[in-house]
Amino acid sequence: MKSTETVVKVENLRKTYNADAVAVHAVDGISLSIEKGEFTAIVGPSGCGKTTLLNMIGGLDRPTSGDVYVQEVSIGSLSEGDLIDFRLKHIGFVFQAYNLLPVLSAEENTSFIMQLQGKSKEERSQRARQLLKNVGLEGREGDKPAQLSGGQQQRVAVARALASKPNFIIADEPTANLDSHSTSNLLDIMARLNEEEQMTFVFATHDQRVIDKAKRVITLEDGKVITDEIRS
Amino acid sequence: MLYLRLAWRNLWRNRRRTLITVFAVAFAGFFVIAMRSLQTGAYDNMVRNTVGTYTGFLQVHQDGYWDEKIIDNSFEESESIRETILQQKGVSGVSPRITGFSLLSYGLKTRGVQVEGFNPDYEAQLELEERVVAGTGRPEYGAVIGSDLAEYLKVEVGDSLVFLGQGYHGQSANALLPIEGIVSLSSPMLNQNTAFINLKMAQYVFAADNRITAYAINTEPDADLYEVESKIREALNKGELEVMNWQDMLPELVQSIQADSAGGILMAGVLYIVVGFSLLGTFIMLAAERKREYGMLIGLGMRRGQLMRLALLEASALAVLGVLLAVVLTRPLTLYFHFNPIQFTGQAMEALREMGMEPSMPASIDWSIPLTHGAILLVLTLGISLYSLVSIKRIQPVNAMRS
Repeated sequence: MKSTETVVKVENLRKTYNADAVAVHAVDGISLSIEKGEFTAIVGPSGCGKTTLLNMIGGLDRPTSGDVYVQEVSIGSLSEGDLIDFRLKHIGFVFQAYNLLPVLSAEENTSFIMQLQGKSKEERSQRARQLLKNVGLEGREGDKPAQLSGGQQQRVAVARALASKPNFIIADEPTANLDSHSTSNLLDIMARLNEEEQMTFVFATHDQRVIDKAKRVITLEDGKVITDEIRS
Repeated sequence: MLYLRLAWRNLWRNRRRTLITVFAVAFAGFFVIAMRSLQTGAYDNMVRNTVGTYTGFLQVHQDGYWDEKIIDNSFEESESIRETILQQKGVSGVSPRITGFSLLSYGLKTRGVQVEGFNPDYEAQLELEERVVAGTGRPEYGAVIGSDLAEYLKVEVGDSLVFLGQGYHGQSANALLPIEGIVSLSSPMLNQNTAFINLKMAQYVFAADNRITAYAINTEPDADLYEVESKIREALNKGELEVMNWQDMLPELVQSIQADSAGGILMAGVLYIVVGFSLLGTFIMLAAERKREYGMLIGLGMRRGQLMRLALLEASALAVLGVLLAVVLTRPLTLYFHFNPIQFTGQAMEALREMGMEPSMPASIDWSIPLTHGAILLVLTLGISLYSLVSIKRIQPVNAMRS
């Protein structure tokens, strides 16, 4: 039997918004765990709580109740500053709108996180170049985001997310702004990283192409898990 | 380096806005520095004309003389006192003087004047020889008078003037002295109302043998006036002699400078407020535009403190660029007007002369002016950039990235 390592554990997680005094349960008592090497897609209709769940798993948002454990650390118990440091060291992010710094080149955007981590210039440069090569952007290291296509920018965002050697990567609708060719390209890269490096990916997505590639699909509705399907 | 590089590149993301902000700071800096340089230059000129070339920056006189300026309040001239003063650090010259008042007549014209007895060999302030219009600036047996006074009395070198006054202990001080020279003094007041005669002759006229009313003292340009004053007081250690600096001797001059300067400071304040609002607008726009990016950076793991440092660096760079531009633009202007003072003509000239001021406005090239106002602009910009810092402090990454 293949040994597993729990990367993320979610326990009875709730997020309630008080919209005009009417409580809205964006996430309503979700419990689940994500193991190392999973390629998980969280799916469901708009407003079902995918992004809210992902934000809480990534420590970007605090739950109303319940807790998230990353590598057995309760991120709910961390202070604001410690949580920022925790994200820096343990979690990689890929956003829908790429969110690259427009004034930095592809290589600088990739090495930015490592610079925040205090890595040496040589190490940063070497790793950033290798990561950009891995995502198929060799030779484009000096290009600014404005000089890259949407698909290329998202690949830089993946390289940036990998730069800090995180425990897992959260990707919120990473293909929403991409054409089919770029989407296929990006998914191939992520799938390869998942296969070869056992990198754990958690997606929130509507995109059937992402869902088709996923090894596990969690379906949400009204803030609750409706189905949790593990594919062979 | 990361912050510097990011800050510098961020600055040029919106080139037009950055340039407008830099020029707003530069305009305020340019205007304030130019205005204060001209004002300070004019004040320095007033002080130089009145103090530097007449009273001296410091004076030693009989205690009580300054309150009642009469010959009876004179004291015995002593070479040892002069030497003692001269030996103090920061003192560049000591001039014994006897000052009295007299009616001066020529023909049917009469005017009350100040009679200044001085020793041309020791004189450090008057510089009459450099101001000669006719004759000499070193009187021996006669008088040297201001050109305005000469014009009023309609006299020239060689004419004789009648002096009618009161000397030491009530003795009459009358004399008929020839005009040896006519000088043009930069202080209009002195030019209209002063007659200079040799110290020995003055002591004779005022029946005050070997007596003087003051030692006028000049100081080195970089000397601390108060320190020199205190050293002289300590060195003389004589209760009957008083040491006074020009600010205590001429409070009306100090007050008129302060009153005029207040207007300039008010003007500078108004400019700073206007520029302050312009900067605030820039920082509000910056914070709103970058909210999403700030949220993303915090999300990725950048601490708020690091982000604040970045925002502060950007604000500092804006201010420094603006201030540097202001200094670069102002310096040639102030240098030009320092060496080529603005000369007032017509009614402005008359008005200034009536106020006893020279109708000339040289600019000051003292570095303290651009440095002070540069620092004020820097602090103002950094103070207003607090808005960005507060915004960063309040950012919630999730909400910011949704914006």
